[in-house]
Amino acid sequence: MTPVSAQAATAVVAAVGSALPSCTVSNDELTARLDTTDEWIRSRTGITRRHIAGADQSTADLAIRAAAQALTSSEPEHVDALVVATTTPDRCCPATAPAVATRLGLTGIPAYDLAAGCTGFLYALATGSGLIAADTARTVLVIGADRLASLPHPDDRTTVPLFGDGAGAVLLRRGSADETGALGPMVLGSDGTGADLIRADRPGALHMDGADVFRHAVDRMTNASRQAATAAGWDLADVDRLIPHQANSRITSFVARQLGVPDDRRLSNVAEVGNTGAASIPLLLDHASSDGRLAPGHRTLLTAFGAGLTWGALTLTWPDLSRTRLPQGAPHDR
Amino acid sequence: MTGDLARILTDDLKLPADQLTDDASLDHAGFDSLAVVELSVLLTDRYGIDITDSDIKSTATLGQLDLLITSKRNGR
Repeated sequence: MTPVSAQAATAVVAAVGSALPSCTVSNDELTARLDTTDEWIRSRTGITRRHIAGADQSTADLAIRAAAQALTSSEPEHVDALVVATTTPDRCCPATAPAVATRLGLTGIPAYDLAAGCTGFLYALATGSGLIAADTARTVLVIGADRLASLPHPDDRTTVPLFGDGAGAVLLRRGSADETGALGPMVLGSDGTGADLIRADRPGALHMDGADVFRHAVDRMTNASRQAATAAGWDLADVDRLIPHQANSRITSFVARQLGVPDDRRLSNVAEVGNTGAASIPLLLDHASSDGRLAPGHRTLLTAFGAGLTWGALTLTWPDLSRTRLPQGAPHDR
Repeated sequence: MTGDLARILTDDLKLPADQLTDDASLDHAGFDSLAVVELSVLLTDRYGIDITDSDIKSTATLGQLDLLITSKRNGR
């Protein structure tokens, strides 16, 4: 018989939430101040508008709204740890996560930031999952939050249209590997030889080598997805929903074609939100589960690529979040 | 143009079939900068040949591009 403790040491998705700034900027509004066109932006990126945070709206503010939505929908008795994946923390020091935890009424729990570019959310799922596997936590709030629109130079017509601001959150709970919502084996990687391909020495100074980024992004996400599917014992033909990091629709549709996943199984919201960095995947999970494109029982493959270079992929079968059962008691009460 | 290239351009790159003639320039056929990269990646994956973005952009017409790919596939 499998020991109960070993079975229980799997992270399971218990709730999702997301937040976007209310201010949107359309392609037409960008063309008023940049030497670009709506057609150029749409044809190369699939983006039609993006949400932009105001000067008074911080990464923490977005993270808190997304997390609060996840907590409201699941009402956990405890949150035992909180991770914020972000490339755009509010300050160099301290980390954003402790302030987020405190403003959520969670002062005292372990809370830390994690930076892995646009792959940050998958890395954060891995560490959150690890806290659960190590019995350090029974529930972990994993948040991806970024204000990526602050990174390009305001006059850079090639990068300004790409980015938006936002946050997404997933509440992980301790469960068993055979439940729907259990996170499958994770594939994560990095390659510092590509560090200069996407870099920002400070806000307003983003450099991105578009052609090489495209090449690496499709190669890394395709390979990581294949490895994650194999590790989970899935055939790629079994994938009901591909949820790639929303960098650019040309990249994500190319990855889907390389994987042999039909395009109607590739979910996207890049048209409405642009590239939101670490927020991208949880934002899409929340949007798609809300509007029914992602439904309970869907075999779902997540994959991401970002600055670092970093990449990752993992599988899960999407759970019925209306029937979430959260573990009771503090992690060490047992 | 060989069927292999025509299929990649229409099926994978989604370029309009009626623009794909041997004497069409890449611009006229609907290539943008990302399509050049997409084609380079596809040719490496499908045929194991190394054709750089610059190689592709240096061809004046689809006919020349087709010849370049054929010669690379033949190891010349």
